Amino acid sequence: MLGTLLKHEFKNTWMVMTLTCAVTIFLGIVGGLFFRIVASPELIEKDFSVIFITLGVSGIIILLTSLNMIATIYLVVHYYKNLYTSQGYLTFTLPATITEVVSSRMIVACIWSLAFSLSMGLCILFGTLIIGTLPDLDELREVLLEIYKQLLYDPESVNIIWGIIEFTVTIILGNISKLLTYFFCISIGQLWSKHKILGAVLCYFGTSFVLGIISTSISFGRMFLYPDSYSDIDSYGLLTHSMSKGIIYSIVTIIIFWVASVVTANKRLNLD
Amino acid sequence: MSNLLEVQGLFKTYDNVQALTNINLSIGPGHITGLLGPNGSGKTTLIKIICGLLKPSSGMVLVDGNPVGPRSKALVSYLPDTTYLDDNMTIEAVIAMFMDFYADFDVNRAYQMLTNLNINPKRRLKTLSKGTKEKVQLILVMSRRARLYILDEPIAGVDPAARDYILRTIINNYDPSASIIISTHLITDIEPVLDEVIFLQYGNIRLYQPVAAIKDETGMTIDQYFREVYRC
Repeated sequence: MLGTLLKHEFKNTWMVMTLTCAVTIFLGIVGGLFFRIVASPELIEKDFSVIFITLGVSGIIILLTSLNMIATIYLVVHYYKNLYTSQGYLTFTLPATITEVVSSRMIVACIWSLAFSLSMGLCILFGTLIIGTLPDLDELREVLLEIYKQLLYDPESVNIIWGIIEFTVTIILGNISKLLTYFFCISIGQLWSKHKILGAVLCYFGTSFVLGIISTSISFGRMFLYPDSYSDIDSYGLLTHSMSKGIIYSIVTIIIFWVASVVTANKRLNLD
Repeated sequence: MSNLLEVQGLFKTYDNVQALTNINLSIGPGHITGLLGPNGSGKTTLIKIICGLLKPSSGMVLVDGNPVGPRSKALVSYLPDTTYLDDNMTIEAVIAMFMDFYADFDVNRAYQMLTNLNINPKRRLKTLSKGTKEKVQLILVMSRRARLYILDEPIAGVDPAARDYILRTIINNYDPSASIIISTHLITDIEPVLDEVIFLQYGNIRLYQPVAAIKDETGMTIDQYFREVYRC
């Protein structure tokens, strides 16, 4: 039954999410062409070129942020409407377990979140490729090594490819963890007999506060308690160390919020 | 013959308000049962618990011997008192979804009923009137060959002419081995099709009797008797 639930959930969400991902990638292409024109050797010397470049960069950042918000809001609202409004009367009377029903919605949302993160990556990649300034990775490595030579003890330990992969995974898992935080708060909001949305919002504030304390403690706790323990770690080591902790932290929160959402729905389903 | 629906010692409390108190009932196959009562008497709460949309505080519900879960949900065809379909879907898409989820869904019956009611299956639900949406939902629910149909206010939002069609649809489309529970305030309209009635009041079963017995004992119609029992 989980397969059928997933199939229908994809059918219900593919149009908006595919469009959002496509617009994101298209934005990279258009942005790349725009910068290629305004930053061309003939125009780069002119004053207005700098203004256009500044406006273009700001515009792309704003548009990408907006698209990210649209994707997140759509996935959260769809989850809420599909499970906890009148549509839930159909969703929860399908011949499947509550765990299957709730998980199917979360799995599809996570896959779309992953797809959107990848389309953001493609947006940046295509934009950079079109501008024609994508540096060769070896060249980039050389530049970074030069910088690191000034700062680090062991520049040979820098692995740019691994760093990029780790950074990408950190971002993707962070986005999924954020999405599941919203789902968890929606589930907790259902425990209120009235004002369920207000309950979800309050839960979000509370959860964010607690998560903020936990993540800060994980990131900087050791640094405050044992400042000397970081004396032999270079900046690159600190960065990868921090990303590794971020990945583990995201995985743990994903599991906790997933289980908590499923258990809440199983134990306290309350479709008024 | 075993009961299709068995409810034992069912309690439901919301915020210290007792919505259902010690509900016990057994409904066998082949019955059309009216679930009647004033607003707030617990009808919808009872229905939602049977359908798995609410968790009871205590007690047991069995549908054809199965506790509330995927097996019981495969046997129950539920029509809620509200629109529960995604407005962005077409009727065709909803029918395809029901075909995928319910092995007992009769697609030919669904399209036949849509034709009878002049509803275009290619239309999106958001383009339909409230009454037409309710008809579509009823068609979907009655197109299943379920064991137990639970209809919460099935005729409340439609015009009197459509009510007759809907009641005929209900009567003509259920298997004699299945049972139907209908909750409604429009007692006069459904009275002719009922075999038995349950009167709920303050979360308790006040009366559970065959329609014929009530008529014999009181000499009143169910609608008259209801007004008598719940006189304000």
